[in-house]
Amino acid sequence: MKTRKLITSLLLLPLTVLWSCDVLDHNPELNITDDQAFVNRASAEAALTGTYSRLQANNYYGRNYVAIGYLQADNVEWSGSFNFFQQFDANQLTADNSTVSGAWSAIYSTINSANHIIAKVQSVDDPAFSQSEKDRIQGEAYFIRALAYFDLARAWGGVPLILDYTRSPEDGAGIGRSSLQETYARVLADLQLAENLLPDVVNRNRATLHTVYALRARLHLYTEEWEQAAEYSSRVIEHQGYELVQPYSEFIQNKNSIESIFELAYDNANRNGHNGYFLPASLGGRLEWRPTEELISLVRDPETGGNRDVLVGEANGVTFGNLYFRSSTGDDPAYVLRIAELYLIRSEARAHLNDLSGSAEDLNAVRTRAGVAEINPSTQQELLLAIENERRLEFALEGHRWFDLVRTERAGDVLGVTDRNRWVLPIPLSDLNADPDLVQNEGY
Amino acid sequence: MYKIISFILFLIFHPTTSFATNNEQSRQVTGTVTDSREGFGLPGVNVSIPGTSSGTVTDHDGFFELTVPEETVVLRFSYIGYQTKELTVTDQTTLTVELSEDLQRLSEIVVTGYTTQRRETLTSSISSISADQIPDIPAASADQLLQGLASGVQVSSSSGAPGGGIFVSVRGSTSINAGNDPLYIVDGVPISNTQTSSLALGGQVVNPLADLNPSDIESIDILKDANATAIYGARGANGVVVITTRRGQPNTPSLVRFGTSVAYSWAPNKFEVVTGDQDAMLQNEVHINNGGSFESRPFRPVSEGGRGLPEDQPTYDRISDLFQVAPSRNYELSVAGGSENTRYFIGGDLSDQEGIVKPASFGRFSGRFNFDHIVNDFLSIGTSTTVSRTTRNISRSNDTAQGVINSAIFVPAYQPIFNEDGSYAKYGIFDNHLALINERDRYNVTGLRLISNVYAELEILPGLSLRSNWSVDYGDNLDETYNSTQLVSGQPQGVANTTNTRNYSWINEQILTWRTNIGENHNLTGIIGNTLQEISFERSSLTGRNFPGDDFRRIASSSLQTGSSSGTKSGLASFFTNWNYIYKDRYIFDVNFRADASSRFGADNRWGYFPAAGIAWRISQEEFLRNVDFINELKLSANIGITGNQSGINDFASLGLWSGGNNYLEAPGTTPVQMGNPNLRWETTTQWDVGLDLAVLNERLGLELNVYSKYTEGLLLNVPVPNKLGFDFITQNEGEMSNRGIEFSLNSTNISSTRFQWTTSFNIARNVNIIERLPSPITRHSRDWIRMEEGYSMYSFWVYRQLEVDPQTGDAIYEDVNGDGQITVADRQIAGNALPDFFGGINNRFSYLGFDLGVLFNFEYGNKVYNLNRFFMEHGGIYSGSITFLPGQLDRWQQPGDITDIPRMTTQGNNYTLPSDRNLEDASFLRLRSLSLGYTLPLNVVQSIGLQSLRVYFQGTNLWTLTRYSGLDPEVNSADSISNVRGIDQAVVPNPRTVQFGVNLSF
Repeated sequence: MKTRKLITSLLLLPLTVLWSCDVLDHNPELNITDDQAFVNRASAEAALTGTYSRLQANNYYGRNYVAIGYLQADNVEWSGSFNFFQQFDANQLTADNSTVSGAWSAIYSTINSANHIIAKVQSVDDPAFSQSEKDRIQGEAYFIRALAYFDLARAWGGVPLILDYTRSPEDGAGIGRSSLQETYARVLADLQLAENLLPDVVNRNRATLHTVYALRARLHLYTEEWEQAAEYSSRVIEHQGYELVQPYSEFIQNKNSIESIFELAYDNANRNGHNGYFLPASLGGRLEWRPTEELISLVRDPETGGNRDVLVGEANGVTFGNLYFRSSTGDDPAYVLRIAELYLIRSEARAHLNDLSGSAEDLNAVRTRAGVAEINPSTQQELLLAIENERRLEFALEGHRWFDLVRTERAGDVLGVTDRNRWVLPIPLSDLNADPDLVQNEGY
Repeated sequence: MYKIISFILFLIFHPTTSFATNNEQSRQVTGTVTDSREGFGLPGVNVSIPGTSSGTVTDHDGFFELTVPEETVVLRFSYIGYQTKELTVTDQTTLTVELSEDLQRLSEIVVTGYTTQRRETLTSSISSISADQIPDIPAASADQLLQGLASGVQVSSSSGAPGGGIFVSVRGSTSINAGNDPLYIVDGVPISNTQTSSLALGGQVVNPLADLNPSDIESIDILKDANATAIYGARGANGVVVITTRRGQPNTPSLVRFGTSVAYSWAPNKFEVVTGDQDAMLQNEVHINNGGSFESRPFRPVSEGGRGLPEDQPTYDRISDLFQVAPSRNYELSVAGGSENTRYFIGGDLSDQEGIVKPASFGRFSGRFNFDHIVNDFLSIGTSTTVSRTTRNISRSNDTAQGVINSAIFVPAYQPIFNEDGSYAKYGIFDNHLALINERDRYNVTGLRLISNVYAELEILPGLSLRSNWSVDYGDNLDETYNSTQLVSGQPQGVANTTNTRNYSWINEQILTWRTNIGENHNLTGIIGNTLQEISFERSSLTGRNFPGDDFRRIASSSLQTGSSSGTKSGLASFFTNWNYIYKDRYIFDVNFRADASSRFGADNRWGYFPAAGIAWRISQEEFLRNVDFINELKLSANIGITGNQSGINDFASLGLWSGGNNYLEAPGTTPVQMGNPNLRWETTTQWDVGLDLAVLNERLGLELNVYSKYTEGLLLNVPVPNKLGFDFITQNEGEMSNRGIEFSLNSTNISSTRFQWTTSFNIARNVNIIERLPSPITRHSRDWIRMEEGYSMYSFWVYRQLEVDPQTGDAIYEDVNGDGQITVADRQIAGNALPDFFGGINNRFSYLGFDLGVLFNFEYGNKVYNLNRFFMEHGGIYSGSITFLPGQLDRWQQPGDITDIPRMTTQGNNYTLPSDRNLEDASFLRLRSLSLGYTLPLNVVQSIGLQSLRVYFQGTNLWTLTRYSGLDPEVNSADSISNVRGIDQAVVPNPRTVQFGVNLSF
């Protein structure tokens, strides 16, 4: 009987032994929990890096938000198989469009990341974390939040303004959509906060003081505050660190050219897949969309396009957009702010302020760089039209065209989109279902 | 009350008292009690010495040991349903006792998880399939073999690709987010059937159950209701499939079995597209209908600047390049036998299968070792171990433009296959199909799987035994790809990837089993046990880009390399017990209870409790029916219980998490990725089942009827949260779902003479699934084809309903649900779903002298399929020039008065842009699943050549299908990789039609 008992106890042994290693206690190895996320300088810096990474998402500056800006207008047309992109091309969006909901949600997750930093960074207890670093990180977060709300406002109109980070699903209850004016006011407030926190250095991949000025100039352009638009444009134009490059292709071929104010950098491990939607199958892409015939002839016409013809490439008889082309290395930048835009903002602001010669001077700076002849329109009307056309070519594949035509209320005349309800995107149906505080844009 | 308590006390102490009467002049007798006809061990047989209180019961293999006095004794073996036998034992110490069935009752032993039971004494619903019922279908995996054989078990193969995904559903789907696959137990080891390959295959999956060699299988028992599955607690809600593999029998000489077969498969139907001139003609029509002028139509004479007239367009056939008559071959070899104390089974198989669509293939090389040994009079040990290696060459298809089928069927036929310089021509988003077939010789998945269980069983007291199981399930999967520069995905200089995935789980179990009989009338079995399990997942992957040339395929030769690795772990700890009491072989009571704790949930919600109870009344055992010869068995049973589900959520779903890897400027970044929910807990399903078993006419006719209802609460759900919070969803226990159904099966011996036998088995089941509560609808798949919404069933299609094509204008008229005069998303509605109204199978088997013939049909009725091939290829012109047309497009409206449901060709309006129900089709089918004809040579002939048996056979699979579905195969699903999407057909490999010739012999 002794052996029997011995073996019994041997068999029962694992019970006790294994309980002590406790199969029920596991910690995630790929993630950290909320309370580990913000403890010192390194984790605060990581959170900011993550917020920039959110800007790069496919649904945001990585592709789809930019595509919303060009597909709805007349520079780029849909030629692929995803009919949710076709809806943009045809200006026939429905509220269940997955690209619309993807972009909406990607922008708000960027905002939540920024909100964490804004709320927490100043109180991080780490002796190695200097006040100036804390200020810089918080300032960059304010800038990113400003950019995110600006992008929401110009695409959807007024949106819910969430200024604190999310703790539970009940947060934000009762916060409905603000008006467009309130949303732009929030953008301005965030930019002003950022101005006081950010250093005056040149870094083309992160937010600095002059990045804030540049976005502020664009904001004033959208809100038609011409004097401020001109003033803030000037602040950037006059800065030594930013110049128009010669020829146009320089800023495409070289990353972080002096032309660039803010571009999102990618690398082999953190790849930009935007090119795959422009390139044809023979170059590894899917040609989901391509430049319109009209755009192709405009950029190829030396009188209008000049040396901007590099925007269109050709392979095996297929013409394609060639701004994003680094399919092998995957490190095409996403262009957010370039100095050329600031010239054209100031040109437009000056035209509205009836400084026609100053306006023409700025316009011609961009034209000269592109290798086309200077022009000197005699009326404000002609000048504004010339600026509109110049912007069309200068930013042909950069997602400005649609927002420009909506901003100037020209989308009906130029694109034939006469239904003004179609000038803003629908609030995603899925979010309308999930959020009782949301109200759909009219017409959807 | 006193009587009950004293009775319970008696039960508990009865074996102990008998043990205590042992005196010094005693000896041990051990032995096995088996069924005289089938030879299997009988569990729970009462072994006693008449006139004394000494006695014991046999364990689940029929083994017993008993201490008896030195002198000659008489042993009595009694077992309900069998004739009692008495044996005089003089000086033997080991016995083999065969018991014969009483009243010619066929006693089937059913594996009920941790124990075995006779079928008549079940209180729950379990379908059993033995090896000889399984047709010799050349299937790669065991789950596919169940098709049409078990009532209430729906099996569909999602693709005809070898080793591809199989959909198995036991009594409907209970979960939206968590998985709906049943739990698979192989020889006591709960095995993983999660996807191990990381390859993006356009929606296809790789079936992990193909790691098991189907010919090793002895029987498959499918536990369907809560009373049967509650013993598996937290993982029992979707049913449990218990697979038992072959073992040796004691005191049997070695038997060598060898089988080989060769098979040829081909596609029963092939894709068809319009010819080059038809495509051109349709494109011209689009141009005119869009308001374009006749002079500027795209296909006008070259002299006028066009692409040539339609009738001048060539037609290049791509589709024939895709398909092949695919050979496959299979060898299996096993040896089984046993001595008094040792039993063994050693087996292996080698099989190769090629795909009917090039260039896919599947191969398996597996071995199995099952071994049991009685060490001494109280200890036995054993193992069930299998190792297998699978190799797959996979071609992408389904939902990817770089798939081989897509590249052949979507490209307009007038486009040449090669460029003028001889290189592969590519169009639009599509690759070149020949390049995919010829240049992708490295798209391999290699799997290595080890499933092993080692046990020791100890008889502590007579009737009381303790078993300890130690098991591992180890799966290693290596994906290796090289995309050459000839392919779109290999641009610009070649892309290679290697991904290694490792699933590892260990399980330790202790099970205490107690069997006792008190007198002739009381029969009690109880088990108590615990389980610990830890599951880990590791993956590392490497990508290399830019190769010096296509001859270099290893990442080491590339210039740009990136790598990553990830992993996760979870644990499960459980206690369980099961008590089964039988009174007079008439009244049966069953109680089950399991407590499970999972590391996936917060500490406060870690434990889940899963009770179940069942009763059965064998009316045929009552005096008033005993003498009715007509009725052999009549049993009513009822049970109720609770089971759970925790699969499908990630291992840390309850925590608020930040994720790394969100990098920028080559610096590591973190972002919030998941909102925490400390209240997260199991899904729980409450289920009741009522069953009737009837056998009449000397067992010639048997039928079984079950009615059940399952109600799942606290569905693990990714509940959408307002996006303004920066998250899309939070995992919560929200929502409820019900499944109600009825299952009927019938087994009939139509003719049974010595020369000719004919049996029929038939089963049919109906399950009604309803999402009873869901906070907001959830959509799935790229264009939201599938929508889950309160009040509807799972797998519902969300579409615009096309009422007609206006005979005057040729435009589609859609139903304006809200009557606002325009067609908006508010008019999109649910129209049908992918679940069948009923399904089942009918199996006829004939034998005449040495010939046997088996005919198995299976059917599904009322299931819908959304034909995405039609959605994309009857596009009315919106993809003109980049995607061609199906011949169905030719039925379009052309002139006023035309009555058709294919609208006018145009890119304007919404004729072709809306996801409409035009392409939603009834996919009901009746299929001749298998037809087999075999001949077993007469015994004297085979013995003269030194064999024990020899059978040659022919087997045909999928020889005939009756369906109105217009696609190639009504059974497929192209979106297997997206959870809870069914019934989508897009460029899928159809299930092959196969003829097979084989030989089985033994000696």
